Amino acid sequence: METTKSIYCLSPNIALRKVDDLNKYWAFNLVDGSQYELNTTSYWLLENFDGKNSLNVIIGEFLNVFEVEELQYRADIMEIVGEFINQALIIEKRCSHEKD
Amino acid sequence: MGDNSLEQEFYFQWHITERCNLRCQHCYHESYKSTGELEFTQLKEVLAKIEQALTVWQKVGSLSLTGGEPFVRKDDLFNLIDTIDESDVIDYFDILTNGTLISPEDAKRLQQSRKLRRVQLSLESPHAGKNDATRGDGNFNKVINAIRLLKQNDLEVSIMTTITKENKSDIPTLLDLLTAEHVDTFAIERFIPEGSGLTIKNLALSKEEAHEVFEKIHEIGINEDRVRVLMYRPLFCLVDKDDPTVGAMCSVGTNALTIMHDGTLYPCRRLPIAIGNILQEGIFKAWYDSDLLWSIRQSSNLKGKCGSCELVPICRGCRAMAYYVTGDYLEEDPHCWKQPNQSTALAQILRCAR
Repeated sequence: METTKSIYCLSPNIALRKVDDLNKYWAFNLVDGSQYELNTTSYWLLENFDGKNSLNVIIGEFLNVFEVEELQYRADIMEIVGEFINQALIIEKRCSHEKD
Repeated sequence: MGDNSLEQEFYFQWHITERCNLRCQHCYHESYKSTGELEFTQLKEVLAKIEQALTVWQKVGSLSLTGGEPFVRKDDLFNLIDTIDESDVIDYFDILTNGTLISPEDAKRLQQSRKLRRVQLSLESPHAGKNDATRGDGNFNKVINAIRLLKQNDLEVSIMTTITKENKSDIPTLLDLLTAEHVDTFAIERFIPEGSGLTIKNLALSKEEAHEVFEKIHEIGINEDRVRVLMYRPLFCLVDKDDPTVGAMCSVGTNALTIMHDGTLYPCRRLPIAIGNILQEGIFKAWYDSDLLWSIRQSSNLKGKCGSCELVPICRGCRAMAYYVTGDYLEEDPHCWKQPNQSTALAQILRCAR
């Protein structure tokens, strides 16, 4: 399992999109065409995997933004992140499209 | 064939060439050189990508094969038709042609296709002189001959007319002619001053003329039982918003893409802004990652009357018409004759007052 010190970025094959009018959020795989409908919090997390901040920092920011209790949500977030990794939506830093 | 709902169906308008034997005044093409035209093996690659997308999206596919004039590359066209006939995911296809190059042998061959739904020809007027002034000398008789040839071979025929100031009053007489020729369906497009058509931009309809034409076509269409009048176009819903056979939302970013002769992808042939290339980046990159498509999908981005119109889900105006008249594809459809909602008008006044 990933550690909270790990740094992740969005996979280069993935595009995030939203339609505010409909309150709809998606992640799209630009190569195989698969699509994932997201909720607000999943979208926020994916948007924040920018290859700069560690998972720990992102979780801290998440708890701030959504004003939720750390104890209650940290485990949930780690589970979601695990799913993002399994679905190859995010990859650990040193990804192919990263610029040094 | 072709009775699927819009949610189930995805449509590709596929221009297999830009070459054409005609030079119609109002044509949306600027060039007829067809630079970078795909070889037949590449056309098969394009078809494979279309099939892949349809499979992933679980959509029923429909195609229109067109050009330029698709019959200028007749061998490739028929080979492509044979390939499409074997497809498991393409429900049907149409051919959009000027009809002048179809031989009796071609018509027989088309009749053999399992998935050809209809052949669409263009005619601008029931009056030969007026039609030929736009499409070239002798065109009228050639199109009438093509209609007869196709009907003799039991093929479904559709006629498309591009409406300008010059032919806007011809529709009733044209429908009489089409009835006499046993044409199956009739459709119109508003003339958009783009491509070669820029030279006759003064012939574009005014808003009042567009209103009059749409009302007239609707009146004829609902009473016409000989030729089926297709009214699946933006703005028709202004005439009767409660009839699902009247009007359709602009398909840009929703359920259609245009593929050009070199694989370039456009949101619509009438909105020729490249959003990718099917052989280079594939369909998914363009469909999921084009800022243009996403800006149109978000209806709050639409401006003017379209931005606040309750009919957006069944209309959205023609984005291409907005683009060519105002320079902004998010602007309101310049032909829309609907009065803005009172509350919107009040909000605009308040904004100005501030």
